[in-house]
Amino acid sequence: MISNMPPRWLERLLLLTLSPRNRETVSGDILEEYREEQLPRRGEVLANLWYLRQVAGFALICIFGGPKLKKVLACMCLFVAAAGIWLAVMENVLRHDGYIERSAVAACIAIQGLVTLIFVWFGGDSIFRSLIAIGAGAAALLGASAVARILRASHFEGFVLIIGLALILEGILTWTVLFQTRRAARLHQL
Amino acid sequence: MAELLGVFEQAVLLAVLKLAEDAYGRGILRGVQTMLNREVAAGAVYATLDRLEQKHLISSYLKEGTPIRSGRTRRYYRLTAMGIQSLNESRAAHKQMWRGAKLPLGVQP
Repeated sequence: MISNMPPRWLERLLLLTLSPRNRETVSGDILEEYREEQLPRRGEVLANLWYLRQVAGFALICIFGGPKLKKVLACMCLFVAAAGIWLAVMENVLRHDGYIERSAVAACIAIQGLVTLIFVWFGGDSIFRSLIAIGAGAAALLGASAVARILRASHFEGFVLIIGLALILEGILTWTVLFQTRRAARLHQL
Repeated sequence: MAELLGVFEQAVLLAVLKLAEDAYGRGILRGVQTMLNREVAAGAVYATLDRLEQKHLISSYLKEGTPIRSGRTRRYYRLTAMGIQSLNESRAAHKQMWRGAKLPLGVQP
């Protein structure tokens, strides 16, 4: 009875999808259910299908519910906020023509980065999420226009390219995290 | 007032509460399935357990495994005081929400 095991490759796949903290306990629970309930009641083929479904469920949560992407986004938000503050300070120090408008844009970049960071750590309701989504879209568009402008300009400014790319990346990551959060919430209802 | 719980979170917490000393993953999964009267993906239950533990609504401890699970350890869960308070508040919110509604609900002509 105890020798009855699910396919080895499936078990390895399950272990891959589990966090180190849950690896032993959760795989044990699934194995216990497989041996005690699924195998005697459904037979080998259906029990293996049941096991496969559980692995698929864990894999989906591993892909769409993981915290790693949030950490990357948090770093990106910090970088964007710092870049916005630095730009605003530099504009006010150098005071070239149109520095007030550019300072305002830089301040908006900093605020957008900080607000998105707050969302990453603390979450928020649907209105806050919508605002974050709009902010991320605006940041990505601003970044794309800055990159397009600097690539066409005769005078190349490296920092504009870096900040522009950071804004695009932050926008894409924010949208991905927002999508993942919705997806994970739906998975919890499975 | 603590954050209100979703239906699935309530089902998981109630399963932990009902199972008492026997509240480990497999039993909780079965309890949730019975409560919701449908098959539930194990991954969804474990993800919820992790989330509830992060919110300090439940705590966990490990116990030695049995031969049926190849000796792998079991993680047992129990409700914290915050978890019990959260369940009570969710129940009260549901009662408040339904207050005044004539049951059973019917379609108005």
